[in-house]
Amino acid sequence: MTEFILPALGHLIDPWNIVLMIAGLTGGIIVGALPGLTATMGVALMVPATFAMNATSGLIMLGAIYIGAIYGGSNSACLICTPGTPSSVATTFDGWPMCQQGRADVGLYTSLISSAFGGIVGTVVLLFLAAPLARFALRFGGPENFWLCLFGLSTIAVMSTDNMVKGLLSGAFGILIATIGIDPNAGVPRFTFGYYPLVQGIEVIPAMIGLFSFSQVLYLVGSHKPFIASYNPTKGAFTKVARDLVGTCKVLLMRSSIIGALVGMLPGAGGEIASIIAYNESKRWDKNPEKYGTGSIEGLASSESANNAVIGGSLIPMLTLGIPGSAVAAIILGALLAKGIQPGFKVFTNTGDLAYTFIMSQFAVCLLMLPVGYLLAKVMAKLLSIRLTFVAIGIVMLSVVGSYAIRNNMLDVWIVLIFGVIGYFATRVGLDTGSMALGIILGPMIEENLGKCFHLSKALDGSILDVFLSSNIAITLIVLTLLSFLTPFMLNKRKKQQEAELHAAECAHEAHKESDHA
Amino acid sequence: MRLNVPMRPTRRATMHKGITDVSAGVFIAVTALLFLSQSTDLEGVSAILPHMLIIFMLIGSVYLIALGIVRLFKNSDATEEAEPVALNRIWIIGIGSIVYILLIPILGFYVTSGCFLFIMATILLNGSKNKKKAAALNLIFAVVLCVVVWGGFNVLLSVPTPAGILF
Repeated sequence: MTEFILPALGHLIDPWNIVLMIAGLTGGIIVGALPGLTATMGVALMVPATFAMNATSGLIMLGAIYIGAIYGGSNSACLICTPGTPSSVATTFDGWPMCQQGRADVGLYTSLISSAFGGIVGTVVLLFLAAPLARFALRFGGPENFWLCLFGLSTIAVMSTDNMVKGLLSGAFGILIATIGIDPNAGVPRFTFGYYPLVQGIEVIPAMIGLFSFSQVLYLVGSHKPFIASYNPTKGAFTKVARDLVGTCKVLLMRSSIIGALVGMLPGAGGEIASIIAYNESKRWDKNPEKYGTGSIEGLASSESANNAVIGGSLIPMLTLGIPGSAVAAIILGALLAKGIQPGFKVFTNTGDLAYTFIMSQFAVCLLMLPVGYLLAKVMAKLLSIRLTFVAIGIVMLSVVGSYAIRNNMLDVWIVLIFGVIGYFATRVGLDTGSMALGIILGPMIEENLGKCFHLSKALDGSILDVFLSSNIAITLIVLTLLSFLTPFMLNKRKKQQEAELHAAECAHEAHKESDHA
Repeated sequence: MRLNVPMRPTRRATMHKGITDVSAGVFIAVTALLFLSQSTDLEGVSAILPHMLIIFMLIGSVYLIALGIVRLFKNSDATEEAEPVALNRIWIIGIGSIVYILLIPILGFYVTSGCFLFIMATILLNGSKNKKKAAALNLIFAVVLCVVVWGGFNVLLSVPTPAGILF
């Protein structure tokens, strides 16, 4: 490995590669910040451009776009409560409240530093642990993936401690919506309501644009505010955020980044699941979990570090086994194949120069993200000084472009509108749009893996319970899921105990004062 | 003539918890029943998850509706804090968006978008004293956003936009 590191560093200081990294990063952040344009789309759009470059430069640029787009999603999540990419859903939970409190700069800088940190941890994992982790990821089958998704879904319980019934029903609504279209196991069309185009199913991105973006337009237009949120830039905010993250969030950042890297290497499980699980775990382990969802720096840091750590994780099975861990990794795999490079573990020996340059470029891009992201965050924050009506109707237009671009289909534009109305109504009556989004994202994976478990149980002539309990990984995930669902009850119990103790102490104090007085 | 839609509250700033619970329950129940009506032909593995979800949602919605009714009768003061809402503005943007999406395949994306942006900005923005200046500002906003989207999406990124008879 060491013989490839120095030449790789040599490639990185090539001015042309530095330009490509900055251009890819900037383009990626902008694409990621626009609702509807995903990291997958950004990378796919730039693949043809890499054909004119050598393999090293092409890969460096694709990697930079990937990293930039995943981070970029947090900008719109914080500023207009619209996750730019599905990975940023959990970022809205604390990023948007921060913006509403006039701390948009704190939110943007927290996501920037956390994303850079997560990206670096993911790359370290990719560099040193690629081989053993790739072998571990291969042990994930139907039951393991099913329980992993349920573990992700258990976040609903933690998210909606005030009204868990409404949270769970919102999640169930989302999963039910995800069943529209062709059944992933039997290939049967379902729930088309006589409208044939629905056979294609409900695409996640338009549904999310509707739930978060269009519903937000209705909320903003109906509010009495002249601007989205007041923005009071704090002097030295970046330094303060960096100090806070290093001082109080280092364990949280490391834990979330490791979760991100581990989830990222599982095929099919991407940043959306990783960020949700990391958010859930941070809230569960925090001494003051009630601050999550109210604009807490910890919530934002855990979501953003996890979704950027996914990048390194998703490249592990792609580079070592030739199995892409995410849609973007699949596109990068295609670009590698187009260059005549055969992925697999030999990529580190036969084309070690290229492989290690690519990995080292991920480090460089994560570091470059700090200055580039800092400058772009300053520009993006200006959005808050534009009149709310202009922003709201502008979002409607961008929502149309973003949703149409997914499948070139007007159905997706209507989905935005319908889900926008559903999202607005749901918020008014206390249902949780975050849980709905989780259900829509995780629904297809849950159903596909549940189907696999049923087929497996039939093939083995056993019950589905035997399949669920067939491996230690699955059992561990079942225990974690149960613990996660029980956490809100335990937290409530602890809170009540503390309140009772406080009340008893106050009563004792009062009694003592009265006796003294007497 | 310039239409100004004032941002005055048209709905009370609070909502009874019982009403929100009943509304949420009815919404979930209606959705579950709609899907139930479509799931009668399903069998085997295709029906497992949908049926599980529908049953869960129906039970949950009955619980929510019952809880809401109990709250309405037992605790008539239980209200949830809600921001005042200018319903007239929500209806305008909602209906405007429906008309906008309906017209896109007919007129073309950019022509419809330009008109939508200008008309919505004119209707929704509170009136300023200088109406000509405000109209010019709205027009500049509509044209600039259309040009930016066209340049960024169509030219630079080659992202397709909905096509129509006009541009």
